[in-house]
This record gives sequence, structure tokens and C-alpha cells, in this order.
Amino acid sequence: MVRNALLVVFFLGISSVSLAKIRIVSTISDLAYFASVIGGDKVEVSSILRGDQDPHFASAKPSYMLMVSKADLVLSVGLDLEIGWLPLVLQGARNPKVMPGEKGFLDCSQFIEPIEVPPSGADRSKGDLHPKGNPHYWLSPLNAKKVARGIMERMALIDPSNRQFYEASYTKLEQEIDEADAHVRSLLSKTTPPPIVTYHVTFSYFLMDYGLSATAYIEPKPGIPPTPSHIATLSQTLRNLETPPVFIIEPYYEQDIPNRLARQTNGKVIIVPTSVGGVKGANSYKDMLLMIARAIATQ
Amino acid sequence: MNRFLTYAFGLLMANLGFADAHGQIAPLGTSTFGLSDRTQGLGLTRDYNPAIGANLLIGGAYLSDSPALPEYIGETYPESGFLFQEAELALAAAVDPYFRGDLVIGFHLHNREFHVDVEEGYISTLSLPRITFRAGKFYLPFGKHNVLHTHAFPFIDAPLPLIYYFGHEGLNEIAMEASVLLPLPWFSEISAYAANGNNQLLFASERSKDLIYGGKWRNFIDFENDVSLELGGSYVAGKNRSGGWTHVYGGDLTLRWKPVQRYKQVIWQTEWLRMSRTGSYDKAIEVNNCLHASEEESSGHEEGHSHEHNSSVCDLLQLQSGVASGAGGLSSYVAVQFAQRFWVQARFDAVGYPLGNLKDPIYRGTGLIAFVPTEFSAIRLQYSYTRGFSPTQELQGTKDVHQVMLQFNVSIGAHPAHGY
Repeated sequence: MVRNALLVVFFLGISSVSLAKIRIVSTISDLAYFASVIGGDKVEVSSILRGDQDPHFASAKPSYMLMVSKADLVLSVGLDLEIGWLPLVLQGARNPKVMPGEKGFLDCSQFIEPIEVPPSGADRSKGDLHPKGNPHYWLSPLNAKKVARGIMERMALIDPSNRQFYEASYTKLEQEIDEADAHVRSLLSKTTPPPIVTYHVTFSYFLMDYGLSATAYIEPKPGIPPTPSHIATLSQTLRNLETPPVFIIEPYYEQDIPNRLARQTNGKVIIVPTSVGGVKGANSYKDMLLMIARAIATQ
Repeated sequence: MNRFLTYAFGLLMANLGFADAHGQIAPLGTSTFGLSDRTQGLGLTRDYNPAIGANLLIGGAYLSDSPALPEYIGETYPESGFLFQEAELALAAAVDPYFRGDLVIGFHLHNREFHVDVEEGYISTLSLPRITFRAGKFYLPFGKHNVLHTHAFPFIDAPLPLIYYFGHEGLNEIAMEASVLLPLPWFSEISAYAANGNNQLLFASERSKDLIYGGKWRNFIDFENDVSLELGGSYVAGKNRSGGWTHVYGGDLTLRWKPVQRYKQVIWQTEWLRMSRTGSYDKAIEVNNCLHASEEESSGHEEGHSHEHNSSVCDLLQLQSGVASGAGGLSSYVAVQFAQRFWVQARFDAVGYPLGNLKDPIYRGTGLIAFVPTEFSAIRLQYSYTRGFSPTQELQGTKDVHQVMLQFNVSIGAHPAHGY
């Protein structure tokens, strides 16, 4: 009798393990979005940072440690984007399952080809460079598909019983990204894009995918706030352009300087999301890409 | 002959890794059999080097007068002139999948001479669920400020209560610690440790096997992602020089408003601690008895070695007797980041609340403005006003001291993440 009861408890335990949702914690909201679309009701997903938050300057809040302490899988952007806070969060979480090198930790940069890798290595006199390349790769739909596939494979490795579900969901996500990509191309093909000014080198991957490039940056060097002399030089340069520029500005930067430059150059400032949830209405990856594209195309 | 010399030179260079077997000298690093291969073959690879970083704290100071404070506190006020406050060299790496190693070496001026010491050197576990063990020399988890390295101080100098009770090195001991994340809905961490208790102001028992014991309970709650509250309680106790027990307990509160969208924040942090002690610390009786005994012993020893030992014992007893038992220390500051690169801060810190055995309270007011060009550099200007009373210098009443300090605080190399 006791033996039977123990067997029942054992099998209940097994079934509860297989039915338990995978707890996924991502550093940025885009990776969380991919995981939640792929995982559906099989996963519990949360993002440490909000979409409107600057991922360079987050802090190692103890509450983040609490989130990671309960995770089965941590999704990281990598390329040193989170170096200022994630290592401390991981160690403070005391969760060996999600330490780098374990199957519960996924550095998503391994699936993409980084650009803007400093040719002569890291040197802070050139700004706050990322020695392994520009980390804002998720803004490229081509990269997004590679990253989403990598996340799907890792979820299937952790939870093989739901592999088919994850693969089917990934196919739908891939279609969503392809549709967004086609829509962006269509929007951008109907107009000649104006000169594009961004605050930081955030949009390099997005612009590269569509054959565009930034004319100027408000930061004199990556990660270095603008000085009055840099703003004056920039203003003069932009006034000499034939077409007024569009200032595509990340939601977490101060808008005073872009607004002033826009007044001086007859340009236009548009706050665009750099992550899902970055501005109101950017509820999906597709929404986010289209908002950036419209900002460029509707000038 | 020439051909032989050319061949011999070529063979020598090839063996040194600078040339190929035909005697052609290759540019460094380009040869298939060049330096890098030999370096790796000899186990001299740099691949596993630890992350190395250094902090430099330099500047200048102006002091209106020598502070009327117990001597060891007065020493923490730099003389007027240019200032080399400290350099810190930090190395950190994963030892293997199970441990991490950290080493911080400090270089600082004391009595116009450079001193080098191991500020921290410890290993910590990486692969245990819920619990972290740490062993080595480190700043013990007491309150918020004690665990900070000098470059991470919110002000240029340490709070008065910490200097008064822990000394200018802080509460830093060779210890073993276990810290656990409690299964609660908010972040709640308990740390407990045993340490050697070498701190001369509080412990330094004559028997090295007399360890000190302590712990900290840290709680952190996020409100709406913009506002956070941290509450902590700390305690440490151990045998002191006179054979009695010293107990130190404290509490800390940090309220922070930091909107996620903007580079602005306001921090209010308050720490309070109190020390109580048992054992005979009556200066007139105990210290004089000690000195008297020391003199008697020295008369019976030709080499005087024992006299020196006992003299240092008496000095230590005298030093500890100058630290008031029962007195409380308070440090409270507000720091406002009003633009991405600018901070303005104000601090009040004092010893003597409650007064305990202290004759008069010592207190200080401090203001600071900081220009922070990047996260790797800061220029800080600080003014402080100190009203002190020295029980050891037998000064009449109190004395006012005005101090101005300028600090360049820079980091080079790898810089580990800072705690919140």
C-alpha cells in the first residue's frame, strides 16, 4: 500500500516536472518577445529591462537577481552589451543552471555576424567601443530570424517533449519577421530616404539590411555625450545638406539636443523604439520595425 | 667561412624563433613557427589572463587646521597639498567551473610613505544553488559603505562613524562567509561569517583562536521599477583586547528614485551603528597597570624584547580605550544626479548619537559636486566642515576644521560591475 502510494507520488512528480513551464528570463524585451512567441503557453517569460530602457546603463539591481534565481534559461544579447551589470546579477542569483557555459545560459550573439568590430581592438579614447562588435544586432530582421531559431533550439534542448510545438511556433514567427521585412522594404522603396541622424550607433544593422547608412551621430564617439563644439559642427554640417535630415532618436536619450538641431536644420525628430515596448504601440517585433521604417519613409 | 657564419647565425635565430630554417629572418608574429606558437608551447599563453583593471585617485587637499579628533581619525584627513589618495589594482577570473578568484591590491600614502597591501583576496563559489561561500580577505558585509573600495565611495572620504569604529582600513578581515538568498517574494539575502578579528580598534584578542562572528540581513524591494527601497541590519561580535566582548550592530536604509528612461536619479542613504563593550577599559587604572607591569617585566629581561611586546599590548589597550563604548554613529547623505554627467551631494555624519561614553559628539557636514565625463572618469570637488573633540589630545573644548578636496577618479582596463 505504502509502496503504491510512493509510486503515485513519484509519477505525479514526474508528470508535474514535464508539465512545468520553462522559466525564461531575457535581458532585453526583444529576446523575451521571441521566446514568448516560440514558447506560447509552455513557457513563462520575463524581461529584465523594459523596451524603453538603455541597455548600456542598467544597474545590477538585487531584484534582477531574484528574477534570475528562478530561471531555467537566461537569454543574453552578448557582445559586452550587458557587461556592466549582468555578471553581478548572475553571480548574485546563485542559480548554477544559468551560469555562462551551462545549457541554461544563451548568448544570442553567437548566431550573428557582428559588424563595426574595432579593427585595432578596444581603446577607450575612441569612445565606449564594444571590442567584439556593435551589439544592437536584433534590429536586423535577418539577424532576428537567426537569433529566434537559436532560442528555439535551446528551448527544445531544455524541454525536448515540446520540440514540435516550438518548431511550429518558430515557423510562424519567421513568417511574421519575413512579412515585416517585406513591408519595410515596400515602405522604403516608395521614397528617397532623407539624411538620417541617430543619437548612438543603435541602428547600424537595420540600416545595413536596407542599404542605408547614418549621415551623422549626435554622440561625437560611441557612448560619449555630445559637447557644445560637436553640436555646433554637426549643426553646420547638417545645414549644408540639400535635404533636411530626419533625427531617428532612441526613446531613452534626452531630446533637447535633437530638437534644437532639428530647428536649426529644418529637420524632424521622431522617437522610435529600439526594442519591443520601446514606445507606445510597439507591441511586437513587426510593430517596432515598421515604426522605424515609417519614421524614415514618411519624411 | 662567411657561408658558415651565415648558416650558424640562421640556425641560432631559428632556434630563438626569429627565423626559419633557411636563415631568413621573419617579422615577429608572421612565421608559422613564430613566437606565439613557442609561447603557447611553453605554457605562456595569455588566453586565461584574469581581467585586470586599475583605479587611480589623485587630486589635492586644503585643510584649515589639524583636526581635533582622535589621532587615528585625524590621520585620515590629508595634509594640504597635492594628493595621491590611492591606486587599486584589481584582478578577477573564473578559477574553473566551480570557483572565482578576486584580488585587489592597494597602493596608498601613509605618513608620506607608500604602502602596498592586499585590500581583498578571496575565492567564491559559482556552482552552488541558493548559497555562495567565500573565503579569504575581504570587507565584511556590515552596512552599505564598509564593502566599498575607495574609488566607489559616494564621497571622497569614508563616513565618520566607520572611521571611528573600524579605522581607515574599514572592517576588513580574513574570513569565511556563507550567503543565502531566502525564498521570499522580495530580494532577501542573509550573510553569516567567522573571521580572525584583527581589527585593532574593536577586537584584537590576545588569543589568535578567538574568532569574531557576524552577519547581515539585506532586503531590497522595487516599487514600480523607478523607486526602490533597501533595508539592512548588521551585527558583529568578538573578544576584545581586555578579554571582554565587543558588539557592533547597525542598520541601513537606502531609498532610490531612478527613472529607467532618463539619466537622473536621487539617492538617500542612511547608516547607523553602535558599539558596546565589556571588559576593563578604564584608562586610569587598566592602562597604567599594564604599563607598570610592562616596566617591571622589562627590568627582568636583558634583551628588552618582551618589553616591546608588552608596550605594544598597552598601546593597543590605550587605543581601544579611546573608542567610546555605547556611542552611536550616524551617516546620512542625499545624492542627486541632475544631468547625465553631473551630481550634487550632501552628507551629514556624526559620532555621539547616542553619546555613550563619549564626552562630546563629533560631527561633520559635507557637500560635493561631481562632473562625470564617462563611467570611467569623474572629477569631484568636496567641502567639509568638522567639529571635533579629542579625548586623547587633551584639547580644550571643540575645534572647527574646514577642508576642501579635489579628486580625479579614473578607471583603466577591465572594470567589474558595481553593486546597486
